[in-house]
Amino acid sequence: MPVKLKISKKMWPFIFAAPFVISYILFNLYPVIYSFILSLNSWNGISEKEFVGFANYTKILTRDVLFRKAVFNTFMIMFIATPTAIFGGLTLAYFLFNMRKGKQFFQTINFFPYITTPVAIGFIFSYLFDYSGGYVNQLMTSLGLLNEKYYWLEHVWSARGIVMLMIIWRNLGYYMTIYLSGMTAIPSEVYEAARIDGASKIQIFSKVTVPLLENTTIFLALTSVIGGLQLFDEPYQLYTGWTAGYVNVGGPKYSVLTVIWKFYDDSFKSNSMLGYGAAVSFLLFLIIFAISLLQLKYISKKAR
Amino acid sequence: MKLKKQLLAVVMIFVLSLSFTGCGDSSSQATEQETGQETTNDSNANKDSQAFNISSETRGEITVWDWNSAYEEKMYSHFQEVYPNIKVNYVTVAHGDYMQKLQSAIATGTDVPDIILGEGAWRGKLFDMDILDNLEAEPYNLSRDDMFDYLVAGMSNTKGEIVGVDQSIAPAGFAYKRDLALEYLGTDNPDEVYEYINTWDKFIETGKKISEESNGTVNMLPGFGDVLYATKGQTTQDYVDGDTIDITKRMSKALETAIKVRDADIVGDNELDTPSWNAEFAEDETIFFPAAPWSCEWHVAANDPDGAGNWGLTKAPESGYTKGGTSVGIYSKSDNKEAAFAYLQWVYFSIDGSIVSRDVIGQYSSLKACYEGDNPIYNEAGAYDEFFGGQNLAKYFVEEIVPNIESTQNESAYETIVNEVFNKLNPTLSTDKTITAEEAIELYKEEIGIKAMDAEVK
Repeated sequence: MPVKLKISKKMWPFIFAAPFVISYILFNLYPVIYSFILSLNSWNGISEKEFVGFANYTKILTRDVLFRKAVFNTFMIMFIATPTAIFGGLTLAYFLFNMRKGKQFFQTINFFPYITTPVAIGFIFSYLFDYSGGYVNQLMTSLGLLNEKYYWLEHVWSARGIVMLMIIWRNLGYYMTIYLSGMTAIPSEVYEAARIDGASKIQIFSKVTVPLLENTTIFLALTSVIGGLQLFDEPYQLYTGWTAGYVNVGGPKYSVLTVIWKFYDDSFKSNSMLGYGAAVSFLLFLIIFAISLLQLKYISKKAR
Repeated sequence: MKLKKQLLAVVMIFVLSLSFTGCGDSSSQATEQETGQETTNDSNANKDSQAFNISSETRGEITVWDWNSAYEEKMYSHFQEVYPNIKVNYVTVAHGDYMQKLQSAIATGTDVPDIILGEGAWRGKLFDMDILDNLEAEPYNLSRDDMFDYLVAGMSNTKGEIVGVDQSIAPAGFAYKRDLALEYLGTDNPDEVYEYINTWDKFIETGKKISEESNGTVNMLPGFGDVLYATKGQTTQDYVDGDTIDITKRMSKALETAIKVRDADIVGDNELDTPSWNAEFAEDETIFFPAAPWSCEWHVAANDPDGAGNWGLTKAPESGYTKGGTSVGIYSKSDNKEAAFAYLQWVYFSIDGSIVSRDVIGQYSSLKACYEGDNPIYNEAGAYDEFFGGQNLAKYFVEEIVPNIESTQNESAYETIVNEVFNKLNPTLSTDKTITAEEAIELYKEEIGIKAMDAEVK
């Protein structure tokens, strides 16, 4: 009798962890493994799967110009937009933290973009930057900043710029909220001490606030990179939403084609190459895995 | 510790076995499906050797995927009067999601519709998937001689089988604003208006004159895309042979003419189907707009609701072309083929169904018989005739435009990619006026080559 109780006591942690573990295995681990197996085949979703070994990977890495472009675009957009958004969120949080009146109000409206659906965001921005009827062109030409209308959505760097703007606009409120909660954990005595020592506002910000928020920054950097490498919504909705008129995969000269978009397009849109798409997504998984490992290594080194 | 190790071992084996079971299941499922299919095919073969015996007693329940809810809202009740024992489940699927949802449904083997639509944007890909029944074979016994000649190629797959009927004929002409035509051409009669644009050279000449008279404010068409869409549609021909895409043969003439029109500076700068393109319908800056029968509802009346009576329809320069068009086919593994065919035939390929469709939706069948004999269906006014100043639109489309359409072309799997490249390059060709027709062809070759890596593009 006592032996049975002993075993059942030990089992409780596993029983409690089981729902998560089972759902993780079913909805995360299994799809990843199945995706890898699918990537070793050629399949259009209807006919039989045809085993091709690593042929898909070879094709992607040696012949697929668009894959290289997609990786470059994804990294480029992420490396500019993410730090800008994080720093912007930090600055915004700092101003709001010290605000006496209207703090709640500004906190709320700054968070709205984060909860807006990507479809609406795509519509807003593609309409704003539309060549003929877009407000940006109309405003800038009427103010004399532009001599003639500019084709924002059809030039490589302006297209990338708009996607970065969408990412920053969308995520600023989220970063601001996280930083605000981090700031509330900083004891006010630290600020008082700094003020007594004669530190200016900028010195307090750079030498006190930012270092004390290091853990928050690390967390945000880690999660943003993983999310950033999976960028899809913003460029996709910008170029395929209702205002786009037609599907423009990847934007002008494929400048905003991201890896996930390439996977989606190869699997379901331009082609029906599900095995090939699985290979694209699995390669992205490996890239994210490698970068996350590097980040964690850097963090643990710093911790020591 | 021992328990932990044992538990870990169990979990790892479970995970590994899951992955192999996954493969095993799908292949055993595939085998089951195959054998199941063979059995069904055998019994179907026995059934297939007899034609359908469709009557008002025919029973069944079918699923139709469509993005246009008008068929459910307006046609279904009429269909039920004729076939009271056939239940139709309509599922509204957005146009942009159609293929993806269809592929997912087929891959999982669940909820595949019995009636499958093939819009121009993905029709080639759909036909290539080989999931639609040949409608000329038993038990359907449709005949290609019953549909308009120009449509036969567009409804055929690369094996030459007719796998769909047109949801509604989509011959295209140019709709025009009567007030602007009176002002700048001195007439709003369709035939007289046509005299000013009956060739592309005349079109350019007229456009230049109007541009001058209006100080550059009035354009002939909303944008470059409209011109190229027309010239592309007027020069259809087969250009895909296996994995060789002869895009030079396909697009040279179309690009040459379109770029000539572009260089004359007589069309607007609105990209196809964007909000600003749609807004042009209500403005006074453009005279002509491409129009197929469905455009009357979706573009003209929708964008210019106050413009009733101010519109007319004439032909495009030189010849007609098709704008849009959707094939309606039957899923080859459907369990309700008889009911599905009853639906397809009555709604899209019968005189009675076409009369209802004309009245309630303003769309017209591709069945030739509807327009022949003593009482063609366009003898009664269609839903949008009044909007076009009382002009008998259906008669004009069928008698004036349809006979002048060269042909559509066989839909190959590469059609989706070519359409994509067409859309992608339009803004570039429209704004960069230094690009010549030869350079445009090179751009087409480059873009298609990027997307169709395994094909030879010339």
